[in-house]
Amino acid sequence: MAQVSPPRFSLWLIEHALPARDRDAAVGDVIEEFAKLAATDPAAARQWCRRQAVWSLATGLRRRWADRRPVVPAHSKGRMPMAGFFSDMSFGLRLVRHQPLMAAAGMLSLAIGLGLNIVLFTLANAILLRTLPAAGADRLVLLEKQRETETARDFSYPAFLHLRQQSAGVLDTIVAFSSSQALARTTTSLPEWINGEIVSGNTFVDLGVKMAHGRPLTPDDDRDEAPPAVVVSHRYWQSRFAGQALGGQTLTLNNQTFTIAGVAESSFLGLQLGRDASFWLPIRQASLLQGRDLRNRPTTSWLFLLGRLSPGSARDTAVARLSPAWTAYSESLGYGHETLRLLNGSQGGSTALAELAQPLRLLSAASLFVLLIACVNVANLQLARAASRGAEFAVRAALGAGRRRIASLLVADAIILTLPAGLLALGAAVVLREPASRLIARVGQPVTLDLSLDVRVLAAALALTIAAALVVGTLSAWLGTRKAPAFGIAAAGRANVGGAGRTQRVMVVVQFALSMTLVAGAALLVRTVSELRASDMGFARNIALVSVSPGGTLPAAEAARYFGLGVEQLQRIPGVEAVAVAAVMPLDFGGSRRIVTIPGYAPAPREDMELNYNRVSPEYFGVMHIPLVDGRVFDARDTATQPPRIVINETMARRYFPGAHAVGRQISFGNGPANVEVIGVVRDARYRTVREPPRPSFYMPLAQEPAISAAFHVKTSGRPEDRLGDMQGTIAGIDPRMAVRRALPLDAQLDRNISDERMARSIAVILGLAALVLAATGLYATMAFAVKRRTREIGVRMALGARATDVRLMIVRQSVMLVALGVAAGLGGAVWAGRAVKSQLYGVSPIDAASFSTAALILGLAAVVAAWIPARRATRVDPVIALRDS
Amino acid sequence: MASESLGEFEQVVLLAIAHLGPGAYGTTIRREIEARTGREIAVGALYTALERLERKSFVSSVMSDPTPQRGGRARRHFEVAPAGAAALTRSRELLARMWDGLTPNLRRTR
Repeated sequence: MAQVSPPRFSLWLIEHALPARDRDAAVGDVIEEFAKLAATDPAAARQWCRRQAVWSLATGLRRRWADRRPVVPAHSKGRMPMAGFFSDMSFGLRLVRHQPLMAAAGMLSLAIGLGLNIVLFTLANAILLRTLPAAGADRLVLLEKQRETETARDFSYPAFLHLRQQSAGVLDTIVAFSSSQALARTTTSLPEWINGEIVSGNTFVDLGVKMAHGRPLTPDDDRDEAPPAVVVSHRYWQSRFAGQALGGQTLTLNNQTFTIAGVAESSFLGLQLGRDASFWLPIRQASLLQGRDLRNRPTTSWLFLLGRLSPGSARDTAVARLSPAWTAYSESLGYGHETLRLLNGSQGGSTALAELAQPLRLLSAASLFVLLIACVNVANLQLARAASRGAEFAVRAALGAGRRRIASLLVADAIILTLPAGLLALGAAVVLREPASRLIARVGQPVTLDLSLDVRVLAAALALTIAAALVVGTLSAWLGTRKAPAFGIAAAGRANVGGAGRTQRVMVVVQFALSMTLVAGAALLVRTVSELRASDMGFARNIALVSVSPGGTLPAAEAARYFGLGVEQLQRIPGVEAVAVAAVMPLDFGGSRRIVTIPGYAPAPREDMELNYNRVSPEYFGVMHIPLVDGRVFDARDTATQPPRIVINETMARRYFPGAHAVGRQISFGNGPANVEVIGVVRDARYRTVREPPRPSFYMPLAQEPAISAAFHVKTSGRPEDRLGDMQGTIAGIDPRMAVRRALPLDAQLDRNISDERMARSIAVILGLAALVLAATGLYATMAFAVKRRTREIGVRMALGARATDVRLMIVRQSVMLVALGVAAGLGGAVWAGRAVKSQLYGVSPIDAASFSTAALILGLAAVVAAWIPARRATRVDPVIALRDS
Repeated sequence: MASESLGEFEQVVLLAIAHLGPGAYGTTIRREIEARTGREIAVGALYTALERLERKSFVSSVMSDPTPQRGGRARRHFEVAPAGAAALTRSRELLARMWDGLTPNLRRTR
């Protein structure tokens, strides 16, 4: 009889549509029937078979649908009850009790991964999602002027008034504000420097800021005749006035007394999110504070401008109207061609927070990486447990459990581990959010963030936990049931379970590849910070800096006398070698600028001739070790009665006096007479930031241009920080009107300047470490399981004469090979990491070989450490027992 | 034990098994039904019904030896259990009582 066989696909469909129990019998039936039919009509037989397959499909689907709801069946003899979900859970819990170490390791891994992400989300919530508590905050825009490639956000008071006029129709209001600091005294508290804001009179009213007590500032307060009034923040009111009722209390700022007209509501902390203000003064009254009226100076830019788009007005239309108006205005003042831009102002004038958006995004990506590693880790651990439950699974399968049952068990396991981990992570996040936010220092000042755990954070925590549970459950269910018979009744020890071992090893490689990315990024950033710290600033480093400011105004002559006395007294402190005074501290981000005109030098059409400058005492160059290149530095000859003179830096000499001697040449400031003589040229030194390129800058003698606020630069023989206390004490006693703003060694000032890079480095190191710990744990689990699995093989080896060392080396070598594979695979990720943090790097290429090798070495070391314990356990295998146990 | 209901197809299957006696397994049951009713039966539907019947203890089953004609697979033989016989009788009585007084073309005789 011709051998015709039934269509294989149909057979397969029938086979898989039926429950396991009846599979064999049904397929047998089909084969039997097919044979009978095919004897007479093979074609009809095949058609019949296909029909049966299609029908079986329908039956199979219907059955699966019906089985979805776990129904507790009637008691039937000899059949295991189709256990419901909760029974799976209780079984899983029993298993946790039996293998607590594995469960703990899994829970900890997940807690680390989840915790990192929750903390990050809390920060992101505080930084990105908060807005000013003002009416129409989503329509707020910050004005920015742009010339060529340079932008600036400060405007003059007349400019503010002009723009307010021009914006009618597109902006329903513009407010002006500026940061301020003042020496505050109340009847009960000691003098202290507090932050505040100087605001235009319409600010509180137009922005709809609510008051907790009293009244807001109004345009009336901005009039010349208005009595001195101030509004304080709720926080300040609570702390300094113990929350009394408002009734005529006064606050003295810089020796001027103001009546407290109102207390703002607790959520309003100023117009710059992240910088808490304690007081608000109208612009008119700011002149009392600063001792000068800046309202009539069109060339002094000191105010930020915050506008609000009229309802229905788009940013583009507003720009189209305002920018040309601004260009006309700036050209009329001789500023050259400037345009106006409108930035998002919903977080107020502070863009420090928005600038954190990009690093935050990077951080989130890295943290999700870590969470992924943790999930893979846990799935790996589950596999290990599952493989050791191989016999149990096989029995279940024989009793008809099927893949779905096993998968459901593994998912239940995943949930048992993930939920407590999520709670643990949430708890950790509550504790760690403060320190984490302190890591995010901005411009050397910690950012004040509202870190309350609102609904968004809790929802995110829940979502992350569930996502992790799903990932772990799906991963281990998929991996664990791919070859259900692989966990066959043939118990551990047989090569049968090779499938699971290979999967585990793959997961280890994946984890180490992911870790390589993070550790490589961390290595790059660590090198960056050390390069920054070691780079040549152009001046000496063993300097202590003490900056002082008067609380209020001080006549220039008295200030000069004060600084003279200060220098004298500081020099008497043992360990102090020399003292100088300068108006601008090095690496302070801020500074002074002045427009210069060089006769004989025609600036390019849009070249910026506003240069950095500093006012210094004659000892400055000696104290700071700034070498002289040509001419001389300041000395006793350069007094106020002499014609003005300056010392310039090399870049300035090269740019404006190329090929000639700069010394002896005369320049002018702005449109003034060309009587400013260049008397010396010094080596370039960094001015505002560590990373700035060399720029032209110059120095003026303090004797000719006195400063009321300045800093003592003290060269010490020992470490600068040792003498700071003495220095502060000495200075405090000279004049009560001058108060110390900041006292720190130059190295600390440098650290403030590179706080961004330091933050990035710290975070990268934390994440890299977390990733490494997780990956190493996974490696440990895999190796431990492998050793258990290969007991027999090890026994054979040892029986055949292998020494303990050889066996140990074998294990360690295998781990190192796995990790090497992971490192190689992760190299691509490392390159990506380098490119991602490129903007932060300094003195290090994004594909720096040294950093990558270091990262690889660290991972290799972790591999050796993680494999050591299982390696030692391997040698304790008794060959006799191992061989017997087959 | 509460008396379980018997679906129509389940009745058909049970009756077919009753007809066949000891030789009742998947293929023969299906052939019996197809011969008597003229309808083609899906293997899947048959085994689903058989599984339900076995769950309700209306049939009992044993596996027999594999045969080469079935590609080396075993047969599952079914037998009507006492509960199944009782259920059949019950449903027949039920229907008889309901039909009492009606002609086959649903005319009233009393």
